[in-house]
Amino acid sequence: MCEILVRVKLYGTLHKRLAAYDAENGLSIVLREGDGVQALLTRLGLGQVRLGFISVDGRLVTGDAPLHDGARVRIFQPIFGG
Amino acid sequence: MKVIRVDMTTKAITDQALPAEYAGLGGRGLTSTLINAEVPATCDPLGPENRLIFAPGYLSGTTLINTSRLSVGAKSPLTGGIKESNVGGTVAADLAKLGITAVVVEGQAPADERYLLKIDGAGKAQLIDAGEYKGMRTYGFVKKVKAACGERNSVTCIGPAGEFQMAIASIQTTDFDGRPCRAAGRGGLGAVMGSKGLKALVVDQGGKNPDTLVDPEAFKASAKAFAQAVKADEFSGEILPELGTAALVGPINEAGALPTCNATQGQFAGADKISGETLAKTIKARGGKTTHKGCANCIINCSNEYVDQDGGYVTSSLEYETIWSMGAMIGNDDLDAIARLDFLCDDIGLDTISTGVAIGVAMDAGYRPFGDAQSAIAMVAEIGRGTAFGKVLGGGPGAVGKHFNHQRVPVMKNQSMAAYDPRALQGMAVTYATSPMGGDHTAGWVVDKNLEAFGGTLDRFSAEGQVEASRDTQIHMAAVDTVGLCDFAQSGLAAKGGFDHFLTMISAKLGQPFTKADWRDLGRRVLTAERDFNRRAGFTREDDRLPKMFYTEPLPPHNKVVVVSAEQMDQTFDF
Ligand code: SF4
Repeated sequence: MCEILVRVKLYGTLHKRLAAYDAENGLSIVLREGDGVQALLTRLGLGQVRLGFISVDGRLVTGDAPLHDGARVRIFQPIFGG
Repeated sequence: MKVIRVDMTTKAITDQALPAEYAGLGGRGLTSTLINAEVPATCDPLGPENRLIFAPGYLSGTTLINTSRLSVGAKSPLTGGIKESNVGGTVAADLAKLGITAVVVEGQAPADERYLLKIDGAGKAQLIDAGEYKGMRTYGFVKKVKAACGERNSVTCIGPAGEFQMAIASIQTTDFDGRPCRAAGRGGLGAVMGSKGLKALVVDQGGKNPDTLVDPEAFKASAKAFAQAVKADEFSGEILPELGTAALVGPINEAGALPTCNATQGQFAGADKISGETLAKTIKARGGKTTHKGCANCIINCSNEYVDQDGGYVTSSLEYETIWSMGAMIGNDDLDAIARLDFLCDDIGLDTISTGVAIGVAMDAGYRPFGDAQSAIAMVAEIGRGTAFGKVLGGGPGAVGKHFNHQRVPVMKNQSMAAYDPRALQGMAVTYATSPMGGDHTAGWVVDKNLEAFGGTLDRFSAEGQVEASRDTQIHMAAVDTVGLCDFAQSGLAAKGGFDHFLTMISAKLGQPFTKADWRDLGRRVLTAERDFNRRAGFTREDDRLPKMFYTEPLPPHNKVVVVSAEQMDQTFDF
C-alpha cells in the first residue's frame, strides 16, 4: 500500500485542538493512497469539530474530496462578518 | 427620552421630548426617519440645511451586552444620499445613560469658527468655543480636551480631514481606553460635522438617568440568557477574542473573494502575511493585546492593540476591513505599514476603507506601483496636510478616478465597496448595488448565505436567490442598527431561543408586545424612509447598479463576473 504526504494548515483557533500543531510550518501528515479529506480529519481528531471550509491546493472542496501526494490542505472555521 | 437640538447658526440649544411618532426608535431607525422628515433631500450636504444626528441604539445604555453603538446620520457629501454610519466606543452608552435619545445639529457656524458641544452629567448641553483646537489631529486633540473637560468624558470628534470637509472624512470616537480609534467612517459624515463648525461632541460618562424599562425583570432574565449564548458561541466566544475580525482574511482569500490590487484579483499572494493568525502572533510576540475591549458593555472583545517591535503603541483596533483596504487592495503585505496607515487615518479622521480604495485606484492608474507601502503612507500624509493631491484623495476613489481619467473605480453610489468581491459572492453584488447607503458590507452581509461551509444554501456564482437573501438581510440589519446591537453579538440572535429573548427585551422597554413581524416591519420602515429620501434626492434605479468592471472583467482565480441582472436588482425592495 502506497503512502501519501499532505501538508496541513489550520486557521482560526483550530490549533488549540491539536497540541502538536506548529503554527509556522503547519503539519505534515502521512495517509494511505486513496484516503480523502474525511480520513485526514479523522486522523487529526477533527472529525466531530464544526468546521468552515476546507481547501486543497487553494481550491475549496466539499465532502470527502480526494487527496494526492504533496497536497496542501487548509482548514478553516465558520465565520461571521461585518 | 429627550432630543437635544443645536443650531450652529444661532447657537441656540433646545431640549425636546421625543415626538410620539418616533417612539420605539433609536440608532439608524431614528437618524434615517428624522433626516427623511426634516432635511430637504436636494440640499447641499455641506450647507446649513443638512442635519447631523447622533443617536444611540434603542437598547444602548441598558444592561444588555454589546449595545454601545452610536448611529450618526445626515445627507452624505460622498453619495449625495441618506447616510447612517455606526460606531462603537462608549459614547452611545454615555448618551443613553443621560436619557438622551438623539442630538440633532443643524445650521452652520461661520467657516473659521470651531465649537465643542459639551453635555454634562445632568444631560445639559453647552456650546464651547474651540478655536484653539482648530486643525488638530484626533489623538492630540482628545488629550487636550480630556485635560480641559475631565477624563470621564467620551469624545466624538473630527480631525483635519473633517475640517477640510473632505468627502471621505470620518467621525472618530473614543474607545473604552479613551483613544479616538473607533470610526463612524462611511459616507463622509466627518465633513458634515466640519461644515457645521463642530469639532467635537464631549459627553459625561457618569449618567444615571437611562430610560426606564417597563418590565425590568423580564429584561434582566433575557439579557442574561443572551449574554450566555454569545459567550458560548465559538465565533464570538473564542475566535473573535483571539484573532479579531482579521480572522476573515484567510477564509475570504481562500474563497477567491478578497479584492486585491484594486480588484484585479480575488486572491492576494501575501494574504498569509496579513492574516488574523499572523496578526495575533505578531501582537503577542511584541507584548501587545490581542483580546481588547473596544466598546462599553462588550463581552466579546474583538478589538486589539497593535504595537511596534519595541512594544510601543501603534494603533487600535486593526480590523479586517482596514487590513484589506490598506493591505490586499493596494498590494501591500507589510503588517506594520498597515497598522501605521490605520493610525494615520484615525488621527487625521479618515474612513480607512475609502482611503485605501482611493490609494488603490491611484496605484491602478499608474501613480505609484501596487505594494509601495511607503508611498501609501505619504499619500495619507498629504490628505492630512490638505495638499492639492491630498484633497483629490480625500474626495474618495471616485474623485481619484476622475483625476487620473481612470475607469476602474469600485464604487457604488460613489462609495467604495468593502472587502468582499461581488464577482465571487453574488449576494454582495445585490447589497452593494441596492443599499441606500451605497457600497456597504454591513448593510446586508450575505457572505455566509453564499458559502455552503458557513451554512449557506446559495450558489455564490449564480444569481438565483441572491436578491431574496440580500433583501432579507438588509431588512434585518436595518433593525439591528436601530436597536444598537454590535454585529458580532448577533451570535446571540442565532442561538436557540436567542431571537425570542431579544424580542422580549425590546418589548420590556417598549411596554407592549414586540414580535418577529414587528421586527421585520421596523427594518422595512427604516429602508423605506431611506429609499424615499434618496428618490427625492434624485436617485433612480440606474443608481442601483455596479460599475462596469464587475460585469465585464472576470475575477481570478474563479474568473466569474456579476450575473445578477438589472431587472433582478430592481426587485430587491419589492416588499
Ligand atoms: S465585539 Fe468588537 S466592535 Fe463589538 S462591541 Fe466588542 S469591541 Fe466593540
